[in-house]
Amino acid sequence: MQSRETIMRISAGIAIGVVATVALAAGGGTLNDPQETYTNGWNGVTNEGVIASVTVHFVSYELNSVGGKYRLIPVLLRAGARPAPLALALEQDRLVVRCGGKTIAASFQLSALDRTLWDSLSPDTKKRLTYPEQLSPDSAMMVYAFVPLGDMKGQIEGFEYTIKSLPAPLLLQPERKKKAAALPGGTSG
Amino acid sequence: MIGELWRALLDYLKRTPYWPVLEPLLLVGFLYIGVCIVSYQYLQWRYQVTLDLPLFLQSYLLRQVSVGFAAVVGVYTALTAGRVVRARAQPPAPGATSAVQGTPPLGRGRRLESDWAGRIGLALLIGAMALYLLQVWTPEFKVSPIRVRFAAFGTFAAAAPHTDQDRGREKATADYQRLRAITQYLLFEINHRQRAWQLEFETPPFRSDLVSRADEDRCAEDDTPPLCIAEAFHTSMIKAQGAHPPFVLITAEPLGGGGTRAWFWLNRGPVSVVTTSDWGGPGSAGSIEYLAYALVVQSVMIHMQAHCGFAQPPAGTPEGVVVGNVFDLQPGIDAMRAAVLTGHFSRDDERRLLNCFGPEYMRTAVGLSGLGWLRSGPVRDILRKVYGVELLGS
Repeated sequence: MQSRETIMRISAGIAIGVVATVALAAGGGTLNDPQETYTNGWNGVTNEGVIASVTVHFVSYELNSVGGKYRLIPVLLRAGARPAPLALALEQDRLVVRCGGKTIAASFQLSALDRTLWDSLSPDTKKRLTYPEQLSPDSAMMVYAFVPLGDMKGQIEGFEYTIKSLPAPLLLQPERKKKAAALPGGTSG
Repeated sequence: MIGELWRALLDYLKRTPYWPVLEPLLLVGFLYIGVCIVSYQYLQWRYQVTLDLPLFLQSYLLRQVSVGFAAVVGVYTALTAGRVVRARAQPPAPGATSAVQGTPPLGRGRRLESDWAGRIGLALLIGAMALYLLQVWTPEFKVSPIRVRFAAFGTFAAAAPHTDQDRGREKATADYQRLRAITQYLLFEINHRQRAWQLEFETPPFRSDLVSRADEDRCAEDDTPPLCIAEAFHTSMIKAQGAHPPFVLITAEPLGGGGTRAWFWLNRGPVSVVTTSDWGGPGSAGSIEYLAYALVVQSVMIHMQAHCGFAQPPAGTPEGVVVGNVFDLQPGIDAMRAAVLTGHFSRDDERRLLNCFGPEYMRTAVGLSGLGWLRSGPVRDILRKVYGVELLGS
């Protein structure tokens, strides 16, 4: 009987500990990192198995810039099973940002925007920022685009990523809103 | 028959008054020949390399064996010469021993000590000289890896193409990308098949903006812009990172050259540029063999320049006369196609490879340049089934 009580006490202690840990870790609310993911694959429809997505962390997005002149737009590009690699062309592919009711052209080539800034970067950074020539099937990679800071005013509404080798542009829209809209009776929030 | 002749010769020599001098010389000579034969056999056993006699006679191995043997004989002579003769000629005089039985008198002891010191000093000197020579003739067993990178299609194009008008460009781009994927596989295949050197593949495309604006502008005025930019890139990487492996850049555009026209590839020190343009483009038949061959030749060329004082082009080569050696300047696609199909090193180059890098490297270089590995069943099957490629002559 006594041992049963002891076990009960220990179990209760463990349960309280677990609940307290979870509550402290969660902070009792949402994480203070508001973010939005824009993608063309939110409804499962992709353009020849290609999904592009941009996740904007609003705090770092607001505070960080490239050389005080440009916003960095990291685009995660994923290719599903395809018969051939997805061809990418620096001169022909385009990324447009829809922001505050305007469309702003982004560039995949920082060296074309600001050569001095580009030359000051380390070789490894340059290597990572270099626009690729192709994306193999069943693989993913980041491509980086740059938008002049002064042009980016207002809330980002979406992106339009034109890849010359694809039949249609990839329209990147907020994932959360579209998911909510897709639910029956769902509300946007 | 030969044995009898030999015996007769020995008998004759023994009867001559020179025999006391000839005997040790003959003994040393036979020992030397024996050691050379053993070292030749060792080479075959250890590296599976069968050198023809002239190549072996000019090799670092024979020089090292000779020096080692001479050093052993020299040390032995230094330590023993004259002692036996003197010991026989000067038996100890009665009453010449010191108080302690068996020890030489004091004066003679000092002489003996200085005699031994001289002999040991000489032996050490011979040993040091031999070690120095052995070190000088030791081949470079550790060579640097070679970094291979593809330039983005159109990087060195003279003018921006009118892409909408140029339908062939899309196909050429696709061919170039396919060649890139195949080259990556071939590099791994080469690495898998040998240990002499490693080929590294850098996946991000090379663009001319990876060098500074100043270098880009300077190279735009250069006679051979791709080589100039590749060199500038290599230099900047060394400056930024302290070290960067030798570098082979592959491009689809011509190399320039103006009036002197640069064909197929250019090399300067640790940097090479190879173009698929002179072969007829990345989609041309045999472009895989050409690229595999070019990468092997460039790797060897870079290593030889770094370690063997190799000069390109080889001095004294008559213009327009080629025999298909890998370091010949091939004056056109016909000569280059023939060279690729029969890739081989000249005897001089083989000797240089052997003496610079040792037998394993030489065997690897000769084997790789012949492209037998590329035409082997498994590789040919993979190329056909995975990449849809047929090799020349298949």
